[in-house]
Amino acid sequence: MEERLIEFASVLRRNGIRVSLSENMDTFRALELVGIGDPVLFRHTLRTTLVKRAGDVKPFEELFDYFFLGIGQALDAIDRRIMDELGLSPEQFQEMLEQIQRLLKEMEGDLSALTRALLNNNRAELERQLREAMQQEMEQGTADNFRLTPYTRMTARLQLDRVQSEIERFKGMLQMLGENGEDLQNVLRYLDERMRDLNRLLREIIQQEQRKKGIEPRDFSQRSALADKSFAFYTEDDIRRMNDAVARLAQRLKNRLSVRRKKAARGRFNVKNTLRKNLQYGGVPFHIQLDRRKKTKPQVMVLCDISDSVLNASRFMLQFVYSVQDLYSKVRSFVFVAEIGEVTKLFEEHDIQTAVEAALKLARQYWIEAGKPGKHRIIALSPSYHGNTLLALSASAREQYKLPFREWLVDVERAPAPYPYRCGCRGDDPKCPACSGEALEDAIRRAGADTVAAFIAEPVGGSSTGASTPRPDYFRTIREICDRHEVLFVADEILCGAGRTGTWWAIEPYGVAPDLMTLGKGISGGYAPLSAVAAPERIVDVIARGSGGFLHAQTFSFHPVACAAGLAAVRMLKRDRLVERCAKLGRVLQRRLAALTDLPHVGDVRGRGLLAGVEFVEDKATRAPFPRAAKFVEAFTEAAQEAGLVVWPNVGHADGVNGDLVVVAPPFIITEQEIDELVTRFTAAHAAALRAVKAGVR
Amino acid sequence: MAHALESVQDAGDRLRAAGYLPSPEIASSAFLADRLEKPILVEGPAGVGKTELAKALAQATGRTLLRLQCYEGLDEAKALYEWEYAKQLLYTQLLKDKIAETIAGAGTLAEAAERIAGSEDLFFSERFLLPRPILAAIRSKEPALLLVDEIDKADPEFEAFLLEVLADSAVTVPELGTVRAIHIPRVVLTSNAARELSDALKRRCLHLYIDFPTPQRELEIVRSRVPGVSEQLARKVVAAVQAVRKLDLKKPPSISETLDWVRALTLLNVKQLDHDLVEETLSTLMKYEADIRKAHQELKAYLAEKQAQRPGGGSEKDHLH
Repeated sequence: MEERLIEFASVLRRNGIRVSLSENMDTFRALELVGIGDPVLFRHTLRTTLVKRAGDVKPFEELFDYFFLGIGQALDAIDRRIMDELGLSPEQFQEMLEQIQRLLKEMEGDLSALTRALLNNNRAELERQLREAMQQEMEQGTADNFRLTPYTRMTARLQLDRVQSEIERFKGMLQMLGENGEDLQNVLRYLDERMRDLNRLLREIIQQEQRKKGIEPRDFSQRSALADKSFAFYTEDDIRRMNDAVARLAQRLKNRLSVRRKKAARGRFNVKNTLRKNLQYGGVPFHIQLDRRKKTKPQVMVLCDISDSVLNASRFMLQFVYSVQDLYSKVRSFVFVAEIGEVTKLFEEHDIQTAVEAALKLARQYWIEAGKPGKHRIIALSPSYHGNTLLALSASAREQYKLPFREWLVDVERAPAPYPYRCGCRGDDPKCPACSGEALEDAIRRAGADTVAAFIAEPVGGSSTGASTPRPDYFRTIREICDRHEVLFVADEILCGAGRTGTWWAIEPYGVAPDLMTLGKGISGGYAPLSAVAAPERIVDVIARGSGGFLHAQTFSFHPVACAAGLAAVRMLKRDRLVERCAKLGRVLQRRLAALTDLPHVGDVRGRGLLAGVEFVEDKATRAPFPRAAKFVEAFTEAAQEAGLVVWPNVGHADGVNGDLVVVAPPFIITEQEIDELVTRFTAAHAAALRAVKAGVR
Repeated sequence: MAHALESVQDAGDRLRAAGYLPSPEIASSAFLADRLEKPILVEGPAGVGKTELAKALAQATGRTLLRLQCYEGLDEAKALYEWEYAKQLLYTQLLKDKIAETIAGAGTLAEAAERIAGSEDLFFSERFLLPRPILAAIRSKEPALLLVDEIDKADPEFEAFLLEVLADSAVTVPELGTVRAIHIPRVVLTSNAARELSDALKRRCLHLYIDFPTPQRELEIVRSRVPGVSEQLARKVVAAVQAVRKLDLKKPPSISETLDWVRALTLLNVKQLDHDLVEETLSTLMKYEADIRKAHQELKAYLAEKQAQRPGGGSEKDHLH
């Protein structure tokens, strides 16, 4: 019995329940008191003395069943069956066994342990062997899991073929010894039965194992399977087990950490200090001094990603965080979803142009799914620029780019852009339709309100209008018009977004929200080609409830590297408060650049934040542009480069052919001195360009 | 006087006589703990009767119960013994004249110190020793049962200190020497398993895990603890609580909460459970708002189902799922 117990203890140990020698001793003593007659009491006694953790109770129960009840019962049954089959009484059976044992002793040669156990009817040994093999198989035999069945593997491990041949040998020996007929037959049959039963026993054990597989404590194979499973396929049981695993992990963490005792609120009476403080009273303790000891706990910061893609796993992460919270005095946990803005679904694209396409396509699909398939026309501003892919090009008002591809482009209705400098009203007329936004109403009417899907515009002009900033109430008018005619307003924030104009999005100061937004360029800081379309839930829901998907799949959509760059850039913008900085220094830039209007031929300086446009004209009074042939802006760009200033030129915005302007867009980290330097170089370049043009070099 | 438990059966009987209804496991563990003279660590969720077990055990074995409630920051002074410093200083002050007399004839400072040292035993004697539960248990002239309640709330340092006490039943007071137990106290430690206890402590103890009771046992407990309850009500309540425990709650109701609820219902003179009544008294059963809400929802859904099934039936909640 003691051996069994020690073995059982080692089985427990192998399965993660730590049992020490002293606990074994306790078990022996306890069993002496209690006796082993009553199985329930036996189980309780073992549990009380061997299992010291509440969490180990369940594995203990299983192992107990497995060890003390599983195989033993089976073996008993086998013996009884053989007895019946051979028609022997228990005494005869016993005699036969003894006979075999005697013969076995005489037998020469090496028999394997299993054979010996089998022939000696040594049940304990047999059990042990089988279980050991089973254990080894579970630990090591995962490689051939798919090719071979467990039975094959176990037979190989136990070397059953060897056992078979040895039994044959034994049988041969018996026959040689010339035992008499019936006895011999019985023995031979017995041996065959034992062999067959061994196989059966093996299968039964394997079945038992497989049934228990879900609840075995040290189950590497099962755990790895869980890790491979996609989150979408987690069953409730999986989730429960993961919860348990997380709880255990948290518990282990709690136990490992010791709470530092630096100072406690109430401590022991400190004799020394008390006496010292009370010397004036002759030592009578008027002021009691205590050991001021207070416990301090380390601070912990936990970051948890709860974005959609890891939603299931993050649930457990949060549970972990809450589990360890009481260990620390201050836990600051941060969860982050998507860094970019408050709009929800973001479809990440790989390159910029397609963002605009995607937005317009989304608008179109939206209207179809919203039940208004007739709405397909797009309204854009003139001048404007949205990209070079066909739909974006159609929306852009750049004739020179469009010429070769006329046949493929879509007809886009136009409204004049709010461009005060070149507007007929010169920015003075409050009722000017172009500058106020009323022009959109006309455009919609011209196209037919039922056919208009969307209106696309840059909140602050890019190169096409040289950072021309619409009036404060412009977009409110636009918003109201769009709402009235059920037209989606697409804000193209690819250039002016991501903080460039001093606010996260250029549309913000106008106090209205667009229906769709296109983002790009700055959202990855320019470090990776990244663009995106942002859409609110109300638009996405229409499509989600309808066809269920946005018909716009591209190879590099949602590319993780580009997105990672985007996330990093946005984090940096936030962390270093670069958008606020941009606003502050933008004001400085605009002020300094405004002084440039004193220079000859500088017609207008405008912009917002760190986005500014400087327009050159031949005649400041009439605002007449240079003739294209003069190639002024090219000369300026070159001169600027030489002076060490990079600008972005644009032509043709005045009347479609003529017009020179440059856009200045310094990095967000520019300093005031550098701004001054910028202006100095600009002036120098301007002078050089003038000289070059006058000299007719170009 | 203390009676040792004679057998598992005997342990069960005596615990029942003391008013505690043990499961066979509890009885066997109690028996072993008593006979093997080992401490027993009782773990389980809150309110299943761990402390009650200790009290019942004390009564069953005829021992005096000494209780030590553990908390974070519990140290040796509060658990073992303390010198009454204030008293000592007071005595010093009052006996100032006498002290002056003692050292009156002393020639040198060293001699004076010698004389004082001679009467050191006066000030560090039994008179000024304030024994706390553990020392009291060890020195107790009567056989004692020491209940260390909620050991998991104490620090690991405290556990380490307990080891000596548990292992040898002896305590060393530097000034008085080693104090050995006259009667070896039985020790019961309870824990809510809020944190894991050190292995060394666990080695020295037997372990008992008390879980929520089975329906039959819970019914028995209700019957014995709330004598006036009607059989039908008790059955209904037990069925309800068993079902509620199956829900995924933050704090599943324990046996003590069941008893509270039954008492509340008997106080309200209730014969039958109905929906409104349950709703009102649900707060005795569940202590978290979220849990109460969850139970309510289940209750509503279940009642609707039940009423659809049984046209004439009142509202009962038998198997709430």
